[in-house]
Formats: sequence, C-alpha cells, structure tokens
Amino acid sequence: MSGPDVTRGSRGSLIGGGALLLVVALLAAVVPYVVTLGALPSLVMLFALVILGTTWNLLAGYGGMVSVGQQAYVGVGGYALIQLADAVGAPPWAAVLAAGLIGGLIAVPTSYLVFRLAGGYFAIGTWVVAEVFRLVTMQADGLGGGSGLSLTAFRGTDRVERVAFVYWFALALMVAVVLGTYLLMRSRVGLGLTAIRDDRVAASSLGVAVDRGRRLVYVAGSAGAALAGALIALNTLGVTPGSIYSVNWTAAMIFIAVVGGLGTIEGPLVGAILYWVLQQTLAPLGTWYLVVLGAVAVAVVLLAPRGLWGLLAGRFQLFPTTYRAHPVVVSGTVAPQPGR
Amino acid sequence: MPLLQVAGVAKRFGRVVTARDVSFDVAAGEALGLVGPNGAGKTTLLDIVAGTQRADAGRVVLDGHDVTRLGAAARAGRGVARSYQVPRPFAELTVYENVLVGASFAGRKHTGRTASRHSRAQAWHALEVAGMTEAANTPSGSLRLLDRKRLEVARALATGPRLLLLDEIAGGLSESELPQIVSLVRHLRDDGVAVVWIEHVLHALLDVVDRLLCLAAGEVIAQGDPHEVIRSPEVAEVYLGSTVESTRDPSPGPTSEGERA
Repeated sequence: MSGPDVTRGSRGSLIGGGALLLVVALLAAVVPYVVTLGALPSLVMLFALVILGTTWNLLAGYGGMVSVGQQAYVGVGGYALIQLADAVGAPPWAAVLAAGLIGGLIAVPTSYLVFRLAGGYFAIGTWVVAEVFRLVTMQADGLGGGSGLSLTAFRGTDRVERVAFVYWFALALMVAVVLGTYLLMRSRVGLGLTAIRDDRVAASSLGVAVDRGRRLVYVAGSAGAALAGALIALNTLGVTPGSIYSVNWTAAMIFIAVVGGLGTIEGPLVGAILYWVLQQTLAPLGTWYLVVLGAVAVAVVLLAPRGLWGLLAGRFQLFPTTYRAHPVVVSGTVAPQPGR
Repeated sequence: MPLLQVAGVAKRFGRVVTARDVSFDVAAGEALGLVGPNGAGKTTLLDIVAGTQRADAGRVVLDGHDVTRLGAAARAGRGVARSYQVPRPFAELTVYENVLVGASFAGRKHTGRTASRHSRAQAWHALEVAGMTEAANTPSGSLRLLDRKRLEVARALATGPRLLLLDEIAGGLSESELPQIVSLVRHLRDDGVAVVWIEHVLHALLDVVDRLLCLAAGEVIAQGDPHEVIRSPEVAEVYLGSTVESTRDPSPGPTSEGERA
C-alpha cells in the first residue's frame, strides 16, 4: 500500500515564516536599543496579549470550549509568580515557568468540574470558577487580601537590567507559546482536536479520545494563561485581586482571537497587535476606548466572519497545519516538497 | 466464535421502548441487513453496538471480549467503524484530512517514525477504494450528498475495520447513484469485513447481505435468509400494518431515527 504525496503549506508559508523570523530577530536585537526604556513594558504587555489570545484560541478555536473564566489562571499565574519569587526565593525566570505549571496543575481538577457543563453553561460556569478563585485568594493568609501583593525580588536590581530582562524573557515566552501551539496543531493530536471541534460524535467514532483531547486543550490553554499572568505581574511589579482576576482579561482574549481569526495560529497575532495599538492610541479617551473596541468587534464579526486574518490572507497559512494530498507521480521528476 | 455477539440488549427512552431483549450474532466477513419500520430502533441498536449509546441491559461482545462498558473511541480502536445516516463530515477539513483522522486514530497500527507514513497511505487507500481520490483536497463541507455518503464510508474504512456499521447509506441517492454504493459495500464484504447495514432501499440491501434481521418496536421479529424474511407474514404485517398489535403507546411519540435527521 503506497501513500500519496502530501504537502503541507506552500512556498508562501516559507517566505512568510522567514519574514516572521526576521521580525522576531528585530524585536530581540534592534528594538530594545532604539525605543525608550519606558516603551519596553508596553511591548511586554503586547507579548502577554499574544500569549493570552493564542491560548484562548486554542480553547475556543480548536477545542470548541468558550470559556469566560480564563482570568482565573491569569490570577493564579500572577500570584504564584510573586509567592515563588518573594517567599520561596526562586529566580524570576524559574518562577514564571513554575507559575505556568501551577496554572496547568490547577486546571486538571477544575476541568472535571467545568466539563460537566455544556455550551453557555460552560461559559458561565468558568466565570463562576474564576470568581471563586479571586475570593479564595482574597481570604487566604499571606496573599495581601484585597490590596494584593508587590513583587520585591527585583529590589536592588538595576532598573535598565530589570526591564531588559523582562522584555527578552517575555519575547522568548511568546515565541515558545506560539511555536508550541503551532507544533501541537500540526501534529496528529492537532488533527484529532480539529475533528473534535467540528463534530465530537463523529470524532469519537473514528477513535479520537474526545474527553482526553478536550482536557489536554483546557490544561494547556490554562497553563498558557497562567504564564501570561505571571509575565503581567513581573511587568507591573505587583498584583491586586481586582485587576489580575479581572474578567477584562478574558474579554481581551475573546477580542483578540475572534477579531484576529478564530481557529488559526495567525489570527491571535493580528488580533493582539490591533488590540494593543487601540489600547495605546485610545487610552487617553477614557470610556470612548471601550466604545471603539466594541465597534471594531461588531464590524469585524459582521463584515469578516473569518476574522481579519481570514479577510487579509484567505486560506493562506503562515503556519501550515493543513494537508494536501496528491497521487504519487510515477514517472518523470517529482517536485520538491516544501514544508516536509 | 462469531465476531459480534449482541445478547439481551434493552434500551428505552422514557416510555418508548427502542430495544427489548435483542440478540443476534454476526460472523467475520458476514453481511447482515437490518430492516424495520421507522422508529423500530435500528439506529439505536447501531449506536449501542458502536458505543455511542449505552444499553440499559444486555451485553455487546466483540471477538470474545465484552465491550459493553467501553466507549465509542475504544471500540473504534478494536475494529468497529460506523457511518451516520445524516453524514457528519468534519466540515472545515478536506476530504483527505477527514479520512486521515480515521487512519491516524482508530486505524493506527504502527507507532514511531513510520506511523504517519502508514496512516497517510491507509487514508489514501480508503479514498481509492471509495473512488474519491479526485476530491481529496475538496473541503468536505461543500460536497454533494453522494460524496458525503461515500466520505462516511471512506472514513470508516480508513480505520481498518473488522466490523462496519452502515446507517442508510443508500437513502436519498438516485437510482443511477445506487450501484456505486452497493458495489462498494460488496467489495468490502468480499474483503472480509463484517457488515451490519440498515437500509430502506431494499433491492440495494438484498443485492449484498447474507442474512436479514427485521426489527419492530424494539423487538426482533424475524431473522435469517433475506428472501424468506421479506416474505414472512410477520414482516409483511409490520410493513403493511394490517393486523399489527402495537406494543407501545398508540401515539407515535418521538423516534430515535426521526429525531436524528
């Protein structure tokens, strides 16, 4: 039994991927030296937004789970970072990674709770869970109650050194999360997840372990949200329960994923940049900022149901996850196979 | 030992009985036709064999192993594949990707470095058997009915099944399209795959099956040689409804098959 010729992606994907690599290289090697020191933390926020959007997209766009409660894990990540860095004394980079791990671990038992709910009930249920996390955090001893915690691990560190470290570390994490998501969705597991999203019953009939797949997505997505939360706390040097557990984080994730393009790797990148630009330029306008955000979201949903990425790129993929199969050419030369 | 043994299976939804003490066997490589009026419980029975629904009582035994408590995915891994009456393609995926899901999960026979090569070849082979290689890169959401039905079969086939459960794959097709589907099923049966086939298009069914089982109101009323079963007075009664004594409420009530459409 001989197989087909399978291609994944096109020459365009290679060129686009190269361009993206160049952008990352510029962000790493040039940008920190040409912008002001004050601009770096806002770029860190952009990287955190990319992580948030990417992981929410993993949940909703690939797992079919619309959660309104991912701020639960943003909060867990933020608090875990400060506790690990200050109380335990872990180096900040290790504390961030461990905070992501803790978010993932907490998501395991939580998944058994929220997976009992379907559709709209799942959405509301996850929000309730996030509120419970916030209330428990405020009641717990040593977590600062309603006023939160400040990060003290950086005291005595030079400001330039601190900001530069956080910037590079956040950039590396963002690249790792996007790349990890891409590799996951390109793999066999990713194919199974896409099948689950499109038709859960048919997927199980073809041998896809539906419950395990959804749990994997939920845990991975929550670990990602916790990583972002830890980065945000590292960037702002503190957390308060009101802000780090704010439902606004999830609102931002939804905006980023839906406006950018649900179910694509590229969409959340586009969405995060748009959200961040709007945030930067409209912040002085106060409430009007929210009005504009809402108007943009409505316009995109109505005019470009596949999101901005779908509108701009059609079916083109920078991160090719699809397969194209053709009969094997028996005679003559076989064209080189880009992508694999 | 038969490949599939269904023993004393019972299932009810509220007051509607869709299976009552249903027992039958299917030998390896045998094709069994499943007929009966709408609401007789045919699709429910297929669901129970495939593991998409749990029976209230009774056992499902596959190749000597009791699989009653296993879920659909685990049974698919043991060689049970099914098609759905209303096709359920993964609409965002292409035809090839749809089939690849079956080949890389339930149909995964190899592990390690060569696994994905084997899965790809297996998926392609299923498309070849179903005559769908031309449409390999078409988004499955845009297929016409005949191709959706063929994709259902191709996808099931890609799992490398020992038992194939087909739910009305000929329904809704034109007379000119029927022979393609019939010859596909016959080809599979001749390849040694056991088939359980629900079909209202009787002449298509009788062309292929070795044995026929007739269900009415959740009970087996006849099984055996296809032509004898069709001619038996009990079967004529339930189909023509002359002197049938209803075993359930006079009101028609929801039927598992009607609800699925």
